[in-house]
Amino acid sequence: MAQPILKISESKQGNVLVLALSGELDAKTAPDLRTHLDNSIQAGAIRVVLDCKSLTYVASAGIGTLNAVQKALVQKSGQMVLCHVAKDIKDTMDLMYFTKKVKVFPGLEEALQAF
Amino acid sequence: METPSSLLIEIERDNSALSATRGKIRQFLESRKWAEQDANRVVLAVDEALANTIEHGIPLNSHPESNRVRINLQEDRNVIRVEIMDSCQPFDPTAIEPADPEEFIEEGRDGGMGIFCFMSLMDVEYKLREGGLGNILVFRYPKS
Repeated sequence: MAQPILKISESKQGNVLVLALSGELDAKTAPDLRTHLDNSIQAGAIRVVLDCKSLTYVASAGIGTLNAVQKALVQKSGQMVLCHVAKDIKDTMDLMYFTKKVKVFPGLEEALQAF
Repeated sequence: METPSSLLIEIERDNSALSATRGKIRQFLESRKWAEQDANRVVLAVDEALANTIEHGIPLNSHPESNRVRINLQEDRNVIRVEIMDSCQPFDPTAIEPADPEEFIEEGRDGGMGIFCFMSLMDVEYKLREGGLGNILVFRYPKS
């Protein structure tokens, strides 16, 4: 049986945590991203860029994870922003109003300037 | 050569099956020349319905067959009809108030938007399986 794969690559740009997502963010993989982000927040990260360049799919479970993480970051006076969001993924985020809450930038450079 | 106008998929009620199922549906819709945005919306709606039955459905008995879900896609006159049949306790998602996306965002909830997604995207019909032995969801969506 094919397994959905979500790869998370982490880097730092100054005081901003950049997570590059690759693969699919669905009901199966969303808990992995939640664990990763919760650990990062516990370690002190409050400024996060999610680079979605290689993200091919997002389900409501994935958006729920991002929504809850954004709430936690805002409570710590931080925020999460997104970049390189594919049209289909933005369509799903728009449907759930998520793009009203999170800033979406065309590229990483612009996303980093949000902080 | 004419491509098949229907596709039948049968899966275990396990979210490990979601990715491959999405791939098969996407491939089918591409073969039928569906636009990418329409295909994504059909894929999303089916994925959300499957994720719901996998996470919340309660199988009616311990027979292995009761842990399976059947997905039947048929394209007819530029409308895709998707039938999703499970063997879980009756649950009619069309009879409940879908979650409010404004509240979802305001409260920073981590889920509960699956029904909202497919109800927003598809024309949805619910049927109880014969003898009450499960649920049938029927989605209809027109080609742009």
